[in-house]
Amino acid sequence: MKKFVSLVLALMLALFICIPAWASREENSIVYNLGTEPPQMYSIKVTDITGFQLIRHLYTGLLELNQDDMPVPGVAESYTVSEDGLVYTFKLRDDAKWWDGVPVTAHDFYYAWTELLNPQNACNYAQMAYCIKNAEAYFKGQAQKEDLGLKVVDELTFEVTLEYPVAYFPYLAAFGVFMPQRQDVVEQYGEAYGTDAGKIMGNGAYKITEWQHEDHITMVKNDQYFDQDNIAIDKLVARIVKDNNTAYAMFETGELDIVNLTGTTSLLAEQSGYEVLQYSDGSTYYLQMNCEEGPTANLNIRKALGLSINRESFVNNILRDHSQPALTFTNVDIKDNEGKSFSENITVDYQDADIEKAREYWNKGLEELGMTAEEAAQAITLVADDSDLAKEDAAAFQEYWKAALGVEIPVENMPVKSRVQRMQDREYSVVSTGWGPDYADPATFLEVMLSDSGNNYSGWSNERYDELVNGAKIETDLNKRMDMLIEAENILISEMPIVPLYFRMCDYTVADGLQGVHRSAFQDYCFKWASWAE
Amino acid sequence: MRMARYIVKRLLYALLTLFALVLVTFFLMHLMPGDPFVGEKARAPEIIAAAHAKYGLDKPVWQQFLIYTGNILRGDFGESLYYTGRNVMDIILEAFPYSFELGLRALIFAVTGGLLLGVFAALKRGTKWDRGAMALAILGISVPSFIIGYLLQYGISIRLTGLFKEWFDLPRSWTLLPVAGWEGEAHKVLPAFALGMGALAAISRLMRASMIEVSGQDYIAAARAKGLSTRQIVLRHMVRNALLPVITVLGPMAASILTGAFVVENIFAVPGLGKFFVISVQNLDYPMITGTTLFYGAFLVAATTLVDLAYGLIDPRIRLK
Repeated sequence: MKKFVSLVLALMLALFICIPAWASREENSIVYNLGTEPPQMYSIKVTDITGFQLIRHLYTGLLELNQDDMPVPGVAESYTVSEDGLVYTFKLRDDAKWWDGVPVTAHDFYYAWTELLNPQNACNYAQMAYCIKNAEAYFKGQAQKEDLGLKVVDELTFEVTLEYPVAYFPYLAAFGVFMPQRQDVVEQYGEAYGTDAGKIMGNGAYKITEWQHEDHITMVKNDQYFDQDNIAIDKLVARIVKDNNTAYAMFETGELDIVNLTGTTSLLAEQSGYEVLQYSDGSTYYLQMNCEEGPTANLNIRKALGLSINRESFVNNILRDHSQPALTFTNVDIKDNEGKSFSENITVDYQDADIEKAREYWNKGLEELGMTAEEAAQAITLVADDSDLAKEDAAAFQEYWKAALGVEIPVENMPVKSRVQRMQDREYSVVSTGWGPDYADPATFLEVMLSDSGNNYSGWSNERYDELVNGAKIETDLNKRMDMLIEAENILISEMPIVPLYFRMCDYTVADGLQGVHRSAFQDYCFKWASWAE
Repeated sequence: MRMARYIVKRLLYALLTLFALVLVTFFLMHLMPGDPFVGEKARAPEIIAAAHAKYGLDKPVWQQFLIYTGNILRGDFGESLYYTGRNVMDIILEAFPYSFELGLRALIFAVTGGLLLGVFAALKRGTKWDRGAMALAILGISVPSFIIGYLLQYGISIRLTGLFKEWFDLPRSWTLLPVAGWEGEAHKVLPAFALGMGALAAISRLMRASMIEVSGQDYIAAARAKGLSTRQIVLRHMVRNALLPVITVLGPMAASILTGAFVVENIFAVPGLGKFFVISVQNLDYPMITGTTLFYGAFLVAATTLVDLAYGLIDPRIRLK
């Protein structure tokens, strides 16, 4: 018996100590962390960031984004736009091929785009294609597929007719849901298409060779890709590690080549001597105010709440990353026609943590409402997510209000879906939320606050604002268009249905020698330009 | 014959329990605020409506329930609303083996370690050995598994590995035990340890108490009087009898450990079932919520039934009357 016990103990000890692991690292590969499993990868159905991240490597659209996030020729070697800005004619290159060597044709784009708009597929991003002629009517069953503004002129010519001119259409042609699809392969797998490594067909720089759900996805360089000479990395391994601390530990041991950092891990990385890098994910975080009901329907109360927030302190002490305090809705990275930040054109008549002014507005507001400070505070609720970080954020806002206005505003934390429901039902006064751009144009932000926008949960409505933003949609004079958008944002900032808080910056670090990893609001990650230094 | 009847009866009860479980879960989850297809970015009403129509969510809840139970009886657990295009049971059965393997390793570690520690502490009752073992057990119970997990990662995978690398001049990619992942044997050691630690502590405390109680029994005195050796008394009489309460808790413990531990799987990036219990609720992925609940329920019922049957093997007094 004693012998047996000692044997077991010895074995256990052996198990714990004597199995060294050599993480098998292949030359010229990158191991990175996706963070979460993509729900599926049928491009027309993708809605999540991780999905688009993979689509970017597995597919090439008519156009693609370059290292400056500008649309450049992809499968289309060139395109022309009609004078009224309505008809785009794309000329496809003849050497673009699918993973299996079959040529990519205009039919593949026609198929994917019509499937995107097919109501039976219930694609969440179908709305993005509503600028195509008759697209909305087709989705709603009021038009036929043949009525859509999509035409295969010949094998290598694809013509798109729009409902109205869209200045940012080239960005859409490069966007994930507008990738081509192979009808025969999609139909072969039906609903299961895009759910496994063997059940998907692409035409991009990489092809997927392994997808172990919730663990990792392996992609290798596509030998059929027309631009393969410019792709340096042979293999990408996308790990799925949810826990940030674990991911950081894996980076430290060399199990990951690149890792995202948040508050604590960012500090750790700095202490360990790694170079902490930043990129902007293009999103603006803000407080949305209920302008229909309750004390926040009063402009002065809204201003009081907005001016009380100390963004500088919030970013430095609560977020503890390199995010930037924000006083405009449109993200600082979005440019105007002259290439300067759009937000620089906006007139903001207050400063960060403008406490004196905040108190003035507060008292004026209370007077107009005929309420005491306590009554008003009790009638206001801050609704926020229930993650640890969101709770910290909400507690900070509470503190800023208490310090500036002397009142305690109640907070309610809840799961995301419940929060969105509350926003839709207007059962909130203030809600902490954010917006990320779909394309590099101020319209991607400003259209959110249109009276009839599904994303405008504030109930705020301004006729002049609607006129300007809707007008900008069809204005073909680009300078005039930009002026309209600037005027619109000025109105938004002075009326304060939203209180901008910060432009998010994300921290990360990469292994020594890894260069050219592209991270931006529109392409996070992109490894097409990455390589290992010799 | 009696045994067969007993088993059939247990099976019928089990089915009834599972039906009640589905019923309650189904209606409760539909009471949760929010919509599976409503996200941060608003969709046009017709787009939400198209999604509802596609997954049958446009029908009244009671109708959905009837359709769902009908489908389950035919073995169809439906398509996930989040992982679109994938069947719920396929997802569960793909993730389950990882959880099961991790759980089994943790359980073997917990049971062997816990029993040895418990018996040892009971035999050394009152000595510093006993106090030391029980302090260890208290630590195991009160320190949450994610702390143990992080400590192991930091202590072994980073610091100790770092020291080894320094001493023996090993390449950068060398690790004593990897931080996370589920590839080879080395990857499985730390998560099994972190997951098993709590159960080990619980078992050792239970075993110790049980051993002490048994040692006061008359039959132990009788065995001693018969002149049996201490080893014989401990192994044949004490341990065997002391095992009963441990086996009672083992059923539910096994069910919860084997079907996926959310926290430990998360920390060690194990592609197991644990996370689905949490994210299916966050995503309001209805078929996935009922699927995972039902799977866990079935496992729990099976484990408790097995434990009931195991009693008979260990203690003839409980053999079916």
